[in-house]
Amino acid sequence: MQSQDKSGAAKLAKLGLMLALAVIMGYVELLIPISLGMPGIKAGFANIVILFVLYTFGFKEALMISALRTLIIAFLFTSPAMLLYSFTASVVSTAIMNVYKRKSCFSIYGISALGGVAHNITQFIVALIIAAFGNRNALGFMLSFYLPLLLLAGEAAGMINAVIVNGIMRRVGPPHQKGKDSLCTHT
Amino acid sequence: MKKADKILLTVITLSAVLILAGGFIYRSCCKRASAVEVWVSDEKMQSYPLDMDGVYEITTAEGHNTLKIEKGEARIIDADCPGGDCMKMKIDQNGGSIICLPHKLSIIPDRVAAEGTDAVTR
Repeated sequence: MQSQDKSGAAKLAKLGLMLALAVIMGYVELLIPISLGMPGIKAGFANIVILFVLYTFGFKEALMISALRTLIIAFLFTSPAMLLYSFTASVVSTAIMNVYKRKSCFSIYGISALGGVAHNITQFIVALIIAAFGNRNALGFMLSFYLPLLLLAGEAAGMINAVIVNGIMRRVGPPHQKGKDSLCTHT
Repeated sequence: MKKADKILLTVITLSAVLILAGGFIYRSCCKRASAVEVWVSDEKMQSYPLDMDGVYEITTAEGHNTLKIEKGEARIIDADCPGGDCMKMKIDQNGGSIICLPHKLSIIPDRVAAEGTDAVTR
């Protein structure tokens, strides 16, 4: 994917492909009903594309694709009302993944899991703001039961995606940088 | 997988498990439910006994739900909310809750009413 051709057109074409792939991933996911008795728990396959773009192109590109992806999905397949959830969540999770990617101590596994968790927590907060404020019973249920499930689900989905992206990057990504495995230092 | 990754994953998992465990301990602590309370927003509307079978219509400003109590279990059998997630939840004497966020409706077990000996021996 990382060709020597630095012209804007080539990059634009690749990013367009990536965006199409991200939209399709989101659509495919809608077709697979993963029902664990809880709404909102899914694999987040679109994040495979976002992660890949984040690692091969950069933050700006990844942010653009995740934002456009949610817009397209909302208007084509789901409803624009869902944008409030999907748009904020994908933008926030991409931003958080970028922040932690810059710290050398996390590998793609940690970043991806963090992205999944950030995505879920953002949606959770949006849901709290929209629906549950002023409703004590729903609040207690959501905080004590739904929140930890979302944490675990985001983590698990993030790990699965990281394995996939790792496999893709080994084949078509930029050369892997082997860094020292040390805990985060202040930079 | 680096060291920081493992620490991060452990922290996320542990916090989730701790919150879950805390919630379960809090919910299952001693009391049994004998009735369900219907709350809309922050107001208690109705209370229905769990040991009496029945079908109840609940209408809020946002929409309509049908609550069914059968064999000590309360469920929503019909709702006009878009997701229908409330129909996947149930309440029995051990607890549980039914939440319909679009309708600002929550149905919770009435633990306060279950403090008598009847509830324990039943």
